[in-house]
Amino acid sequence: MPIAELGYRPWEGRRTGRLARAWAIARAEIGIAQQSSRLLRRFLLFAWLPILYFCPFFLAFGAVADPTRDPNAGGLLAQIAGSLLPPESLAKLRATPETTLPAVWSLAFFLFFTYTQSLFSMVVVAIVGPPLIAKDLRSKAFLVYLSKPIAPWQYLLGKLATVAFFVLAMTLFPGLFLYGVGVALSPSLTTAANTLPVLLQVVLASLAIALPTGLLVLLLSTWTKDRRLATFTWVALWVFGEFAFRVLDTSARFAPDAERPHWAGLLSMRELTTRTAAGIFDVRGSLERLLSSLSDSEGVFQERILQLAAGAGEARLVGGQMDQAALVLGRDGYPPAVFMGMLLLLSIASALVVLRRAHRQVRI
Amino acid sequence: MAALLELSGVTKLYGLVIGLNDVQLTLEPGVNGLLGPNGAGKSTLLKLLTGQLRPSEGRVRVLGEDPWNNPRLLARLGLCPEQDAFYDQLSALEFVTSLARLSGLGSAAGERARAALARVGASEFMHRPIAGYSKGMRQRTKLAQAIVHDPEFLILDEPLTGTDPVCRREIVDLVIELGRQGKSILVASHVLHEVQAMTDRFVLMYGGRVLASGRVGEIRALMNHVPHRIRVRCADAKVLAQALLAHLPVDGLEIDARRGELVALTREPSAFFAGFPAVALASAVPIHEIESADDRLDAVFQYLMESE
Amino acid sequence: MGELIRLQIRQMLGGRRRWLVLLALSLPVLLTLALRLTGALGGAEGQRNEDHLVPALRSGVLPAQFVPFEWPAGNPGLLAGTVTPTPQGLLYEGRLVQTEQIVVWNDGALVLFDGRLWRDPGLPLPGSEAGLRFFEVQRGEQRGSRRPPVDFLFGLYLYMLYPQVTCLLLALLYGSSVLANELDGKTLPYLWTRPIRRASFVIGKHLGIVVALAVPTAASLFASWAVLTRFEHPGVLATTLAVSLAALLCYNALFLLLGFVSPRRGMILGLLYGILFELLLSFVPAVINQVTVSYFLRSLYLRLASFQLPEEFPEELAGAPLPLALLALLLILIVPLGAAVLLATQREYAVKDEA
Repeated sequence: MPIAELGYRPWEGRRTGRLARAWAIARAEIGIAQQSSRLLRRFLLFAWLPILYFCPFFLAFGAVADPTRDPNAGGLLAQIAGSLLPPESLAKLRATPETTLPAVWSLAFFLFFTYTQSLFSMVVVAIVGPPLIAKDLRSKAFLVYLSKPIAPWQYLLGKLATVAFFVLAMTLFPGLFLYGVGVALSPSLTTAANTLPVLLQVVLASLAIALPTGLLVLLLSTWTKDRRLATFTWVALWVFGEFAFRVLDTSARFAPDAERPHWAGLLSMRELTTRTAAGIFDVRGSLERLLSSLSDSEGVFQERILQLAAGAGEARLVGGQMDQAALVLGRDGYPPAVFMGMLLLLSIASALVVLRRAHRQVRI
Repeated sequence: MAALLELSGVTKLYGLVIGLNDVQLTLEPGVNGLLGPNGAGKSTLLKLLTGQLRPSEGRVRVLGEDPWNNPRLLARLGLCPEQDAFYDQLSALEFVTSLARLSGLGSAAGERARAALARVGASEFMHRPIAGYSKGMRQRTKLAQAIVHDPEFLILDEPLTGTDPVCRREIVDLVIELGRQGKSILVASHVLHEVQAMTDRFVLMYGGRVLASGRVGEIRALMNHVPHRIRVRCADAKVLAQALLAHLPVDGLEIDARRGELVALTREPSAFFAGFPAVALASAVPIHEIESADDRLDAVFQYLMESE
Repeated sequence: MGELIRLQIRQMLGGRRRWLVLLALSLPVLLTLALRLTGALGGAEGQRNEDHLVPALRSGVLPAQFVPFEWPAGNPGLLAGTVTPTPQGLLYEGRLVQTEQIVVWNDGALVLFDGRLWRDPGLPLPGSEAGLRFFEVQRGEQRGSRRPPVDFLFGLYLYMLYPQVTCLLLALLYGSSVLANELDGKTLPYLWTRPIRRASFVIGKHLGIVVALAVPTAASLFASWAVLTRFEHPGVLATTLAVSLAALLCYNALFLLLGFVSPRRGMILGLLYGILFELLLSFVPAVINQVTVSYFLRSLYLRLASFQLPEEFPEELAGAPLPLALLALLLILIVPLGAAVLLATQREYAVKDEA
């Protein structure tokens, strides 16, 4: 009986594809991130809270749009809907739900994404992102990774997938859940079918938040061995960028001749993501579909709609000092495409720098 | 003369993990080795001695004082830590000078730093930033900062790791010389033969406990119940074995006839050695080598660990 | 302790680390440059035509050069056809946006008076809607133009930029990581086994950071001030320098304490506190804003600068009198340092072994 050879044996089976290796890195890192940070785990749960706030709206819209319901019936849902949209919009919703319901949903998702989820994403990225590459650099595990049959782009993809996973957990997964709630509560399947574009918008917006921020934070993580420095730089980028934007924006109010510097919006990460989301959710088009003209609405609705539009960059100030400025509808500054382009540029630049650094390391 | 250090009933817990377990130890001034495998508690002990940690239970006294929060005592101590860590952007001279000033050397710091670096053989490269140093240069820098303020008690944590044989030799010589000058030194290591070159007084640790402390011979002699092992290499092991069994106080024998080796186990090594030449001569077996496989630290350690 | 300070400074400003501080402090200067280049500052400075015009309008007199304003046909830049003055006020797209009866745009180029729009042909109207800004004038009341005094605006900007944002962020970065760096870098044993009192260690590190940051910050502040005010208003520079130093001292003490409380999480805690409390909540005009360092820094700033505050400036945001502000800031400096010293002497900070 021959004695079994228990020494080194090369792998003779099939090797997995290239994406699977990136996924292997991602899976490992996701596990590490979840285990190492209690804060992260709690935060992931916390980020689903806004859904509790938004669900009733979908319920209410669904109820209003239902043609079989008595339009004069009261009830909580009607009240909720009535408090959000002006009566003429509600009438439109009832009359032509196929076109108006998606518009309402788009606006709701836009608010969901920009008011809460993008802020949460920033925090999550700050927690998960900076250590990812910095710790590999510090412990020289970087070289161990690259001495395996892993290309630098697979390494980057794996790390990016980690950050993206957590951001999507904040944006896409709750978004899909809300979408499901909305579909389940639409008046009919055809109406639901008409909202498919909104689903696409949700996916796109989630990716548009996840990928650029992920790549940017990985860039920061590559630049330093100290993950704390990377975290700080990430937060400082947001804080200082927002501050710079606000200063440049507000100061223009004191100068009658000065052009409002629209490029200031490109300095603020928050503004970049918000305007991009506004473009993806087509806030302008949705508003136009919901209201024939702003003067249709009165008082508090007008204010709310204007605030929403202003957040999306679709309203601007006319006259008045700081606390009494009048908002009117109309594009303010660059179209969303410019902001999307900027995000794309940042993403590509980040990816290139990280890859170049990885290649350099391999050559040493 | 006051004891160099004294630990009474010292236990150190890290949460639920026992770092040191009811350690009772007194050392006299002089050069001592602290031996044990990784995880034995050597680093914990050294941190307790230098005031970086406080015992969970028990009392620590170094040169008669409690090292916790005791700057006056720390002026008399010097530590060469295990970690390979520096302020990389400084040069060795700047680094040692800075630490010398922190030790209170004032305006003489620069001069003393230069002297210390010269002593460890670092004068050549002491102006370059530490970031570019080899392992040996870094070890020397670490040693220099430990001796620059001329401490009474020097604590060296794994000073020989990663050094090349030449550097190792130099460090060992330095330690011996410092010992001769009257300094007390505690060298922690897990590489036994290197420490044996520096001193013959040891403390053996394992699993958070002190197994034994004293001179090797003394320790060995205390363990009477464990037979000594004496290895003989000869031309005909079987014949010699029979002769030894017949005439000497042998408790056991291991024979490897093919290689011509035998190992005799005896509880009376002196009697064995006294009678061996006559027996060997009478058996007419050529003897190539004889060794007491035992008067070596690792053997002692082995026995002690096995009896745990 | 002097050596500790020196060592800390070298750690922060030696070699490659220097670029971080330099970069961080050149950003505010760049922002100020951008501000000046966009021309946004032009409106804040200098004498304005309306300073003469407004009193005249208030007394019911319209200067002779004004002619009734006709909307120019085909000019896409203005609010063509949609702005209508009425007895109730100004309507824009049928919506009432302005109820005042006397309104001045663009330093008097366009005026709303007596229910009509009037134009001064000698002054240019901006070609774009974005250029239309105006300041209210209350009819019949003796109120000056509500444009805030220019030194107040400059001071506000420099205060926000330096003590409030830049000094806070820098103190956060260095203060909260001072112990963590020694632990991660495993250099703590060298310092911890030296014959220095733990108190000296804490204070030395603190002062080292402040000194290392103070000089570059002062240089950066000087540059920003020069660009912003064109070397006028030296009082603003002096005040901002003083308050920036106070900000560095106090914020650094606070974040240092956080770094000692939890070397691992100190920075995150500091970030949360800094953003949530100091940058957001402290601007809410309610009681909550008084428990922030920011409140006292602002109060100190206003008391030292003795600005004329514009009427609508909420007093609650910076109401502390000078002695109280100084005392509070002193406490904010001493108490966290004291607590950090306590932690340093009582807690064990040990570097993890390699094994």
